[in-house]
This record gives sequence, C-alpha cells and structure tokens, in this order.
Amino acid sequence: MSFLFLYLILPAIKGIVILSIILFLVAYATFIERRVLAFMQARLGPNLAGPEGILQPIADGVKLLFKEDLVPSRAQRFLHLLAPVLILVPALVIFGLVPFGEAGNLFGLLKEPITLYITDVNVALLLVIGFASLGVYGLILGGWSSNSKYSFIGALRSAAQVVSYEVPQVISLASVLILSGSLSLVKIVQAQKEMGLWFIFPGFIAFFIYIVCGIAETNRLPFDLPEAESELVAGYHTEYSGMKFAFFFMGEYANMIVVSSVATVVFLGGWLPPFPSLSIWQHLPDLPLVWFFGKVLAFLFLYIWLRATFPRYRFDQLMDLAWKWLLPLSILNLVIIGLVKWGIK
Amino acid sequence: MLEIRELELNMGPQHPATHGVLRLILKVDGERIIDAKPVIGYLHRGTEKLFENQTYPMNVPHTDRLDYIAAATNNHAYCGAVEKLLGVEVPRKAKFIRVILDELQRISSHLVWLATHALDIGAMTPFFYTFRERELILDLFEEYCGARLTLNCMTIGGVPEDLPEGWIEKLQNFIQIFEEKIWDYENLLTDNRIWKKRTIGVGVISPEDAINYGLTGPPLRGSGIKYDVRRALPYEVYPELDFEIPIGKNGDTYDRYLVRMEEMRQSIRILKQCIEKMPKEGEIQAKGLKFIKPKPAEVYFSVEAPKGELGFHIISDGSPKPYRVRVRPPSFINLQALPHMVKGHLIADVVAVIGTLDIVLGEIDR
Amino acid sequence: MKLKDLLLIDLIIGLITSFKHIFRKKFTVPYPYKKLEPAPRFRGFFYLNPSTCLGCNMCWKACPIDIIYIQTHDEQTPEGKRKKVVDRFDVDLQRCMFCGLCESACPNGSFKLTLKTGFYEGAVYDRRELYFDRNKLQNYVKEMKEKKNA
Repeated sequence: MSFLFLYLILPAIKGIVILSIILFLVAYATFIERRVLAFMQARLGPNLAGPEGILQPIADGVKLLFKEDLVPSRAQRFLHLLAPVLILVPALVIFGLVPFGEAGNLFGLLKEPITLYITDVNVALLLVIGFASLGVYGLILGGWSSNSKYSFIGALRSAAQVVSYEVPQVISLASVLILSGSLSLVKIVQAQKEMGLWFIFPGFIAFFIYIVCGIAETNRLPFDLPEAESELVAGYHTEYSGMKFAFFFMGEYANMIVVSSVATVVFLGGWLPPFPSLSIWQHLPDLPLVWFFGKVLAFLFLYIWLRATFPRYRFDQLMDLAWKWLLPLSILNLVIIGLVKWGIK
Repeated sequence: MLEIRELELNMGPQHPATHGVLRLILKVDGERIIDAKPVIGYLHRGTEKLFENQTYPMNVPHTDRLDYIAAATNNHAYCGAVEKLLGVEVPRKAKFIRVILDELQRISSHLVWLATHALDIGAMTPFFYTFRERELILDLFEEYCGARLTLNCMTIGGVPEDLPEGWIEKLQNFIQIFEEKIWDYENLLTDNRIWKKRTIGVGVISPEDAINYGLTGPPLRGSGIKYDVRRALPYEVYPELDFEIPIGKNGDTYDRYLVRMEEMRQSIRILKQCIEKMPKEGEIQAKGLKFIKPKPAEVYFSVEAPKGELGFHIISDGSPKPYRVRVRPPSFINLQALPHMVKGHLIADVVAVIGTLDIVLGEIDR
Repeated sequence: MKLKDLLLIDLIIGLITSFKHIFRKKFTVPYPYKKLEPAPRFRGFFYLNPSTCLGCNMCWKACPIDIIYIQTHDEQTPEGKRKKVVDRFDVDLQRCMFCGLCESACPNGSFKLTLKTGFYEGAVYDRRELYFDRNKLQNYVKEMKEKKNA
C-alpha cells in the first residue's frame, strides 16, 4: 500500500499540481509580458478584463478556443497537427525533473514534509538538455508542413539557430558540472549550499552565455529570427490559427520558464537564499517555493526587459555570435573553471 | 531533369514591413537576395487625372492624400506651384507660418519613419516613444487648422487661418519637450551594437549611383551630397534662416539614420528662429485670388519634403482648371534604388532598406 | 575591442532608458471612458441653420468631391424684392473628406455652414444614415451630443 502510494499516487498528484502551476504561470507570463512591456513603452496594456486586467489570459484563451481552425489546403495535415504538440509537451515534461525545493510541508499544510520535485534522476541535466532540444522538431515540422514559404524559411532559421546555440549552452553548463561534480539537479543545488555560494559567482561567464543561449533557444528578442514578424510575417507559425496557435504560444512561454528554471537551479541556487551559509537565514523562515519562483519571475522580467529594448539580430550575425564569440568564450570559461577547481583541490 | 532554381518569395502587398501595399518579388538563394522587383500600383487612385477636372483651389485637399504622413509639405508644394503660375507673392507672415508647419511636419514624418524603421529592425519600443511626441505635433496641427492628418492647411496665396492664441507658447513647450525626449530614441538606438550591426554597411549606395538614380532627400544626403531644396532652390523665408544640412559619409542605412536624426534637430533650430523672427501682425492671404484663372503657362515648383524633393509640374491652358498636373514624388524615385541596394544582402536587410528609404505608397501610386 | 564595448555599456544605456519608463507617465487615453476634447477649430460634423442660408451655391462650387446638393427657387417678398428660397440642402457625409473648403467659401457671416461642432463620433450602423438633409444638418449634432451625454 505504501509502496503504491509512494511510487504511483504521490508522483501523480505532484505531477498534476506542478502541471497546473506551470500552465497557470504560462498563462500569466503572457499577461505579465503584455503589461510590463506596455509600461516600458509608456502605455497601459490590457487593463479592462477584470481588475487591472487580471482575467485577460482567460479571455484570450476563450477567444482562441472559439477561433476557426484553418489548415492550408496543401498542408500535411497530420504533421500540421503534431507540430504544436511537439513544441509544448517536451517543455512541460522537463518540469518533472526540476526541483522546486528540497523538502517542505507546503507552509504547514502537510504533517510530514515531502520532496518538492517529482523525480530526481542522476542524469537530470542531460535529460533537460535533451528534452529542450526536442522542441525544435515542433518548429521545423510546423514550418515545413504548412507549405508556406515564410513558414519554411522560419523553420530553417530556427533549426540552424537552435542547433548552433545548443553547443555553447551545453559547454557553459559543463563548467557547472565541474563545480558540482554531479548531473542531478538536486545535487547541484546541494553543492551550492555546501559551497555557501551560488554558482553564478564563480561561473559568471557561464551564466551569461547560458542566458544568451537560452534567449536564442526560446526564439525571443533580440534573437527571435524564426518568427521575425517584420520579415517573415510570423515565421513558422504563420499558417496556424486558433488553439494550435495558442499551443505554439504556450510552448514559447513554457520554454522561457524552462530556461529560467534551469538557470535558477544551476546558477542561482534553486530554492536557496543568497549566500545560504550566512547565519541570518537560520532565524528566518525557510521559504523554498518563494525563492524559487521569485527567481523565475525575475528571469521572466529580464526576458521582457530585453524585448522592450533591443532590435533584432540578423541571421548571419546571429551565427557569428554563436560560433565566433560564445563558443570560444564558453570553452575558455570551461578551462578557467577547471583550473580554479584544480587549484582549490 | 533536376534543376536548381531560386526560391521566388512574394513579399507583400500584405506584409507587415512593406509600409502599405508595396509588393516585392524577391528571388532568393537561401536567405540571400539575387534579385528584387518592386511592383507598385495597388494604391492607385488617379489623383493626377483628378487634378485636371477640378479648379485650382479644389485640388489642395487632394494633395493631402499623396504623402499622407506629411500633408503640409504636399499642400505647400502644390500651392507654391500655383502661386508661381500666377506670379503671386505670399505675405510675409504666411511665409513664416508655412515654414513652421513644414518643419513640424518634417519632424512628425521623421518620427513615423524612425518608428517604423526601428520596428522593422525589431526594436519595438521606439515606436511608442516617437508616437508619443508625434501626438503633440498632431495636437498642434489640430489646433491650427482643425485636422490632424489630412491637414489642408494652406491655400493658394497664403494660409487659411491665423495662428490661434497661445499657439506659439504651445509650440515652444513642444520644442522644449522634444529636445529632451529625442535622447530617448538616441539612447535606445544610436550606440546600440545590434542596431549598428543591422544598419552599418546595409543598403550602401555610392554618391554617383545616388545621383544617377535621381535620389533626393536623406537617401541622397546620406551618401554625402549636400543637396537640399531649401538651400539649392530657396523658397519662402529659408534664405533668412540659419540651419545646417547634415550629410552622411558612407551612404549606408546607419548614415541615413544619423542624417534624419540631425535633420530633426535642425528643424527644431528653424522653428526657434521662426518664432523669433515671425511678424506679430500682418496679412496671411494674398489679395485678388477670389477667382483663380492663370494665363497659359508651364511651371515647376518643388519643396524639400521630409522624404526628398517634392515637385509639382503644372500646365495651364488658361481655364480655371489645370491642363495637366504632374507630381514628382520623392518616394517613387527613391524606390527605384531599392533593387540595387538590396542585391546580395539577406532577407532581413530588405525590410531595413525599405525602412531607410522611407517610402509612402500613397505618394508612389498617386 | 575597447573596454566600453566589453562592458556592454551601449546595451545597458538602452536597458536603463526602457526601465525608467515604467515609472513615467503613461500616455494611453482609455477611449470610451475618457475622451479628449477636440480643439475649437477641429473640423468635425456639419451644422447649418437653414433659415439663414442664402442659397448662394458657393459651398457647392467649392466642394472638391461634389457632395453638396442645393436646390432653390425665387420668391417675391411683400416688399416686391426677389428672394432665393432653399428647397433642398443635402450633404452626403458618406463621402465627405472634411477638408473645410465649403465652410471657408460660405459668405454668410456668423450663421454660416460650419464644421466646427467638435463632434467626431459619427459611426453609424447603416451608412445611408450619413446622408444629411436640411433638418438633419441642423439637429443631428445637437441630438447626438445630448444622447452621448445622457
């Protein structure tokens, strides 16, 4: 009985709870984006649906549900349907691996503390990278199956972009592996706790590279070439409408949250407060979820902030940046971190 | 047989970055442009023919609809041409009012250019900042002539109305605000490395080519040629005013950006001088123009519109209606250089070049 | 490679600019809840007092798109003078471009045909409603303003 409970029912409940939290966060990420972007642009943004517009995501969802679902006449129907699923699902799967906290009783709701993650695999980081790169199939299939030139060019761009930015990203994450000595996300955070320092301080260059690559992988400004609206109309999702379009949209935001979560766990100490070895934290209540989601929201704000400020790179310049700057820099950083680690030993 | 063909990409007439209804047939090899062919005519309204069927004063509102984001300069060019045909001298105060309206219109047109150009290159925020300031200019226009976009703010022989009370103070207030806010755009764009990467070396046109294509306005001055109708063929009170003509060096998109930014500052300088020098009292409308019936003649008159040299060629046959009116729209002629400028660049550069040429399709198709 | 470039100064200046705007005044006017008053010279909907119209046809002549229709007939006044009486004065606002040439052509002093009513919310469900005859020219704006205020 307890076996069944521990390995089947509890993870299922956790999965449902985490999934609904993430989908809620995705929906409200769109709202936050629209509001914050509007404030940065000296306008108000959506503020009419509910007080200060907080019902806007629901209104958007209802509207998109009732929209006509158009499929171009020469499209590959099955792949056209599959693409939006392929982009959202891998992003959501990753949250099965992300630790939101070590152990907690959810603000005193439970008697016994439970682990605040679904599962901790000892190769979690590899899995995360693997699932994150699965998303590109959604983009390529979506662009190719809609049988439109703009979609096709967008898909080609996204393929090239995601593949080339994964290389420096993974190398920058490798420097963290040197520091932590483990691929398990929980162990990485614990290593930061033992060290008493977030990994952002020794690995600032790695953090920077990871963020740049993460923005590029999620196709956000200044690297939003696959969907550059002024050149390619809407890129790979030009021919999508209704709920399928919403899936692409949610996939983009889910991916943003994935990148933010991984950055939080790997570089910003996950659920840990800043400088976790300080004695002051022992007197304050332990709030793992607040720390975690606070950091994720800060990342989302950074995403929006960058979008509000920068123009878009050109395709060849994007490749230049990846291969000529970020890749050498990340390798150099790897060497430096290795030397530092060796020196400490 | 398998053969290798270039991808033919149809950009527009419904496309977010073609500034209206321009259609470009692009031949691309991957992302690289091999050939570009602009197709125009989607906004053709037969304005030139319309001019022939109406009397001279009735044509003024139609000129608003040519370059619809710079209506004042269009009015000015047409009215100036008819005045030249009639040999009428515009009263001094009306001249100053015209210059003020022109320069305000130049700023507002350049603001729209900056907004759309930056939006095409991916920077979304300057759009809202520039439109915020443009709104103030439109408010000034509304207060002066009652319309915000299609102004109809000049008549043959002068201007329809005197400046309302307190208008000059509002103009001074705008000048003060604008001089401060122009730094918002500069901070976001001028030094930004992404902006520089996207614009430097893109759409280069050499001075020789620029002259051969007949470019005018900022696209010509960006290539380093100091040609400005306000100085070359002075009209109204421009000879009395002190201003510089900014020129670029390399003839690329970034230089044209700098030229236009500097032009906005020079326009502010002109506005300040106009406020100082404008006579407080005076006629605003030349006498004896109740019924306009010029002698048979042919004139060409041009002004420096925000986009380049805007000219009207009018042939009169002695009747109250013109025999033929031919518009020399700057956008139409600047657009010719587009295929030359984008060849060998990437798709993303096409939108940058369309933006930097600052075309308005209402003027191209007429 | 200068130090300035390495520290991303140019990008940081841009980021500061956009961040500062969060706290600045917002320029949105939420339209149906808050309305901007048009300027006194704003060219909006028409007003005409038919009893003062001379029937001189000057507005009809000035109109570039021929949307003003006037019909008059002559009557003898008791003093034995000839007087023009306006039978029809229609303005087809479906096609009007609000250039204001008719207004500036009107010779009739203070009771003239005017566009300066400050009324601009002229959307209708059937565009034929925008064909204005004499009565409508006199009353429409007043009625609509009362309706909007109520």
